[in-house]
Amino acid sequence: MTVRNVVVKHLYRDSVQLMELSERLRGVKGVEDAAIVLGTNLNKRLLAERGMLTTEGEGAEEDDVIIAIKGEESAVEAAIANARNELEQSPTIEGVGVFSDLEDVLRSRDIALASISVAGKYVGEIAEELLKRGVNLFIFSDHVPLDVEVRLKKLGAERGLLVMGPEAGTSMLSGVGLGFYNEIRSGPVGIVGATGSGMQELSTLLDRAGVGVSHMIGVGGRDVRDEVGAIMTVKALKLLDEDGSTKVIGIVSKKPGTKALRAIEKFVERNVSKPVFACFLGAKVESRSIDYSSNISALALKLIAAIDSELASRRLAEIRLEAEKLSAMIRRVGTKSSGALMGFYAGGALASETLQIWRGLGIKVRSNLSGDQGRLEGENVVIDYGAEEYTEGRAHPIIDPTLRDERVVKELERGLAKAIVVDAFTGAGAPKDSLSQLAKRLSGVVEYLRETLTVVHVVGSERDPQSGQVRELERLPIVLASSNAIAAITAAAVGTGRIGELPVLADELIGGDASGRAVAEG
Amino acid sequence: MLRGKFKVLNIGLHLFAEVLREKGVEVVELEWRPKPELEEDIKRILDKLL
Repeated sequence: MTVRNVVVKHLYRDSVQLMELSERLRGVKGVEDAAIVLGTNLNKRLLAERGMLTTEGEGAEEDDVIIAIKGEESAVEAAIANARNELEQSPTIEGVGVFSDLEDVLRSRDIALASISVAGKYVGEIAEELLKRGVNLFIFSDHVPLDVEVRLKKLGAERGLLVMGPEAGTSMLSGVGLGFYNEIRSGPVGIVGATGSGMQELSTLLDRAGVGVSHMIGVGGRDVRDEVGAIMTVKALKLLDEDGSTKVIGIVSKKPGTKALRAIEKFVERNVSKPVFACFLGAKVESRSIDYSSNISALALKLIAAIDSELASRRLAEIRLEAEKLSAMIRRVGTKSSGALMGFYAGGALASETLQIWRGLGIKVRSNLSGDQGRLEGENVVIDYGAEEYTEGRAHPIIDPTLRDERVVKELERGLAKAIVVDAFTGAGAPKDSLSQLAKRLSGVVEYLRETLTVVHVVGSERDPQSGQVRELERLPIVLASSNAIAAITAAAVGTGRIGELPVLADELIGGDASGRAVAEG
Repeated sequence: MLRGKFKVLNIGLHLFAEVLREKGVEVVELEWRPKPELEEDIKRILDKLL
């Protein structure tokens, strides 16, 4: 068994291409493990943990690619040659409609929007060029310096252009989905989100209830920080208020800065005529012009009620029924008498929602979302695997959930958790076999699933191509929850020994949040 | 953009362009590469001189 690293210097390839190449090489006979990754500190650490890092690889820099192969001597050599060959080929994409010059591609092409997903440090220059030429932007990239974001958004605002992101995971304009998104029916609800997974959750909950979405405008997680001042949230609200097909507006976001929140409230009060409902995860808010919910499921219900109150009542009844069934089933099967509550997430807003729900119920939880450091093991914990420390030089966990999934398996084997909550995504951007992959990993530890309550919430629409794969999850001894809030409440009820009260808790937190006051800060 | 069809320029993850194409959206791609370091140094020197 040999491990070899070869470093290809200054090679720019996107993390998804590298991920796909790694997968292909792993399938080669004689290769035990293969990882073609950018030489970031995170990736080097992960390689070392897997016993895949040599001194060569150690010396790689962020802009280099490490080819790390483990296996039989001859197979390793062949795989390395194979990888080098693939990597050094250029261009990497072929076909009609591919350009290498910005001038060229913009010339008389009437391009309304550019979708940018290059490495963060390069975003500034490209984005500024495009804004100067009147092109709206969707910026998926993260690791973009905050001051660059501020500059781009101010420039965009000056020119009447939309700058969605950086870190915008999702948008959907006139039915055109950008980044990650699900098959959502068209309808009267307009959504603004400073979160990708939050909008995916909201839109799929609405869709499942039969309510459609006009547009989803993702402004990026940092738009609601005071430094950015909610510039694009306000612009998006203006667009939706002016849009004929939008009847009600929903805002979903992580905790905003005080100034940013005030900017949003003031704008809505003075300039928005349509009803506005919002969920600012982790924030205590009061406002005359905006109706607040403390979680995304409650927000969905309010939006549904604004369109069709009958439908909302039916949906609430369904939620109660689901809670009753879960409660009965879990009491019948039984759970451990002690253990921690753990949430491992690909979607940041969902991690945030769970954290808030658990803390609101008096549970002490540590999380990388609160800046808690360290491995955070053996105690109540919520981890967002989309946070910067887990994505350096790697694809987003919705595209590549490896790190998250491995942690779930590890915790199941370790047995310190009483309940584990997990999100799973279908739709565009998620792997074509996303649910099958998860089902496969979990079935590898099926005996542990019988000991630790594992709750999975699938964020997706029935019309997503992967939706049929949910059957593979249904065959496992896990709980499938229809929303993240329900998943979180279920785990909390189990954790606090209140499983019999699950229906009441669900009703209170999702249905009964009539005043819109948020639960305690997360 | 909120009023109907529009053209998209994709820069970065090829995956996103593919997804858009599958949905019948008109997409063009820019095969973008960061400028090689050497070029930047020379450019800077030239900018100073000229």
